[in-house]
Amino acid sequence: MNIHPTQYTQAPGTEVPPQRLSRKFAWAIPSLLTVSAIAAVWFFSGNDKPALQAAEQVSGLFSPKTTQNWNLQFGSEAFATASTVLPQHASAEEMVENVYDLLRVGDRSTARAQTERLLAKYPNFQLAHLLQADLMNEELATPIDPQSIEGKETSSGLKRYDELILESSRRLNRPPASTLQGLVPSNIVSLSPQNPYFIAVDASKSRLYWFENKSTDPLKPQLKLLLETYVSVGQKGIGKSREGDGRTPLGVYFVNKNLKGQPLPDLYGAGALTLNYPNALDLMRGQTGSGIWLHGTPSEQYARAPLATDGCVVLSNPEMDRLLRLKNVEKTPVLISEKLEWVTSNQASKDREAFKKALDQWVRDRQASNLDGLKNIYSQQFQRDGKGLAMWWPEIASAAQSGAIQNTVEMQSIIEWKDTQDYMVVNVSNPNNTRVKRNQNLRLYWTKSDGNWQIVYEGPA
Amino acid sequence: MLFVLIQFVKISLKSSHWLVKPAMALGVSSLLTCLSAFSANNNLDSIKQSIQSGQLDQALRSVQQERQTSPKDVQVQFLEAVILAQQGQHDRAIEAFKKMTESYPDLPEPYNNLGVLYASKGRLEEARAAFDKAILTHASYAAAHKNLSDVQAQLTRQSYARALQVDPKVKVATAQLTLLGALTTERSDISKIAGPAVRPATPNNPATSEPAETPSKASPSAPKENSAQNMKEPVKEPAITAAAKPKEPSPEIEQIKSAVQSWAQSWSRKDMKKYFAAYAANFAPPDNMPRTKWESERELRIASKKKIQVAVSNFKIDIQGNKAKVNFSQVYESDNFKGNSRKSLELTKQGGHWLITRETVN
Repeated sequence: MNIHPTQYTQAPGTEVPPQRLSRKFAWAIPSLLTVSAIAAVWFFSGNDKPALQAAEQVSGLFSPKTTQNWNLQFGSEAFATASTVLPQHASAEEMVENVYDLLRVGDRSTARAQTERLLAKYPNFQLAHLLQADLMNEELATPIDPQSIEGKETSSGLKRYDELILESSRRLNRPPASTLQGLVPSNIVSLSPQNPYFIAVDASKSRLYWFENKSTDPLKPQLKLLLETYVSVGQKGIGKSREGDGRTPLGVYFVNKNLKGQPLPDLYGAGALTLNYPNALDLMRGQTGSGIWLHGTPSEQYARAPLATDGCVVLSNPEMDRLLRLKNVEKTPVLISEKLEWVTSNQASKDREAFKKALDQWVRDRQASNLDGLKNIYSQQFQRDGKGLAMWWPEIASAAQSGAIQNTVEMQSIIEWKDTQDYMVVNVSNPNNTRVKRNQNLRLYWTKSDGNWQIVYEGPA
Repeated sequence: MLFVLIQFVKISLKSSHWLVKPAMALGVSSLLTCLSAFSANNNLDSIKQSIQSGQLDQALRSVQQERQTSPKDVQVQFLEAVILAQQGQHDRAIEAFKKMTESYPDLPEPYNNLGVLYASKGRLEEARAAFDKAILTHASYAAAHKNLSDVQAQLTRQSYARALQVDPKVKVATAQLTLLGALTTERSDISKIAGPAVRPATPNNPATSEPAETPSKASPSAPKENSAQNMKEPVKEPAITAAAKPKEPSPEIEQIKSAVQSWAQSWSRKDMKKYFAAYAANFAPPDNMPRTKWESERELRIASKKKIQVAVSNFKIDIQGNKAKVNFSQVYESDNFKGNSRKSLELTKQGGHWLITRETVN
């Protein structure tokens, strides 16, 4: 058992039995501890309601029911395991979880000591400060109302308080990585082994999943979770449509550049990966804005609030730094979703079968230079750089006329995107085509209209 | 002569003057008078009276003279530090109290006062550590408990402020702390004295970026009113005698505690000579090991550590004549290991000292 020798020696008579806590804190149960109680309720009830509703859960903090569960939770033998030894490389989040585990088994002194260690390692982790404050507050004869801390002239303290509660609830309610074993985001239709990575963001859970691509068969994607981390998204949430709307775009994006080592303002922390927002579909929909990046955290904070950015997806610096060190991250698909769906990799659907047939037809017509057949696959809604099919058809047709060998294509990735319509984002390479720049790949957006899959965009990837 | 005078004076960090309530001071003086009849050292009494009447310079001069004649007298050192604190010479007072905690680690008062001075400078973590140590030396030391909880409240506010990224200066400086004016610990080698209530003259809280409220030194009555508002009722336990209170810990219990404390301290300091001296000649090493082998193993084990910290608390003492069983919590920390345990020691009183005859971990 770990005990800090000086600070955590409980003085006689100061120990508060758990059952007294609820009465003592009837007016203000320590914030974070309550979140953990909620987490426990959530865990016990087997309710798989996502943390999407975390704000509502939090607003119900002070209900008597919650108070009851607090006692239940801390007295329960079911929780009687807590690791007091964490690996050296334990992340800040793992350390926070460990503190809660320790509290559940009633080992307050070790919990206090671990919080101290957490703060020593991550001195700008505001959530850890709140945790420490709650733990200290609980020991006070007259607890402090945390909401009284804010300066008189501003409500920023109160806002930050709510943000931290939401952050902790998102972190604590995250699905354990082990439950994702063997699962992939349902959007992946095909992923060739040539893609080293795949990135998925679940905005409702404030999580980013960074996978290593272990697929051997492109149609049966196998992913290995390399990193799973807390992220912040736009202060106004998700669904970006206009410049300055403070929202994070939803869709299928690709990493453009790794800006590691480039001088960037402190705001970007460890560095940044730029994304291709607005993508072809965004442009077709008239969406504006730019500079949507994955980036690190400014030095004054270890983590930003769940909803805090101007639209970027923000990671803590240790995690960002780890990702920036990876080679060949350019062109990695980045799926930004409100809520990810997880499936086993070999799921087939009629829709996808129909799409694969259309895609095969497109490949065959290109190889056979069958322009009439090919043109049927291109939608009248086709749009690239604001111009329609009439403008682009000659170029597409001329590329298709150059012969079978040049038109051999290799599928790089097929990712499905569903919102108001069903889309497939397809990346292909032309290994034999000497007319296009080396390594220049094609990207196509397909959509289903009247039951038929058609191409609405084709351009360089 | 077993006079114990516990005296609390509420001070406010926010107010620039820590003041003794007149009624309180009066009560103290009468007790002082009572005490002085028994006191062996009249000079100390007159110094205390000088402090009482606010003649700090004179008190300091007298105390410094006194130090020339008896440089090792802990009471003189303590009074000097108290005067320095009251004069507002916080850094020097801190140094003085710190030295005392090193020379007399069994006394809670220097730790307590050190804590109060740290807190007044906004060094809350250090203050907390000092109060913790005061409590470790004497678990029932009420002043340090109160102070610890006040500092904890401040630290809690500070933590919340850090969490919320707001400037904590508005509310952080409101806690009240207790600065002990006198050494009150029951110790046979220190005759009891009662010191005056003291206050650092200009608390300077670095957490406050704006300059500390400058006291209107010209009008001595003004801060008095302030303090009356800022102070809660002083908690005061009048002089009590061991005789009048049969439930007070017996001197034997205190001696045993102090023996165990100094054993833990010599262990912490890797003072092997003192450490082994805590064990009786008939000490039974574990596993029927010969004493010499046990000693060399202990020495190897202890000397190989860069840092050792052993803290003991929560004593359960059972005395049977000149034998005693002590059960206590032990928090042990070394370079790469931390742990706490319940430990039992069996002691025998030999030649006026309580010595360890058996050591077991429960």
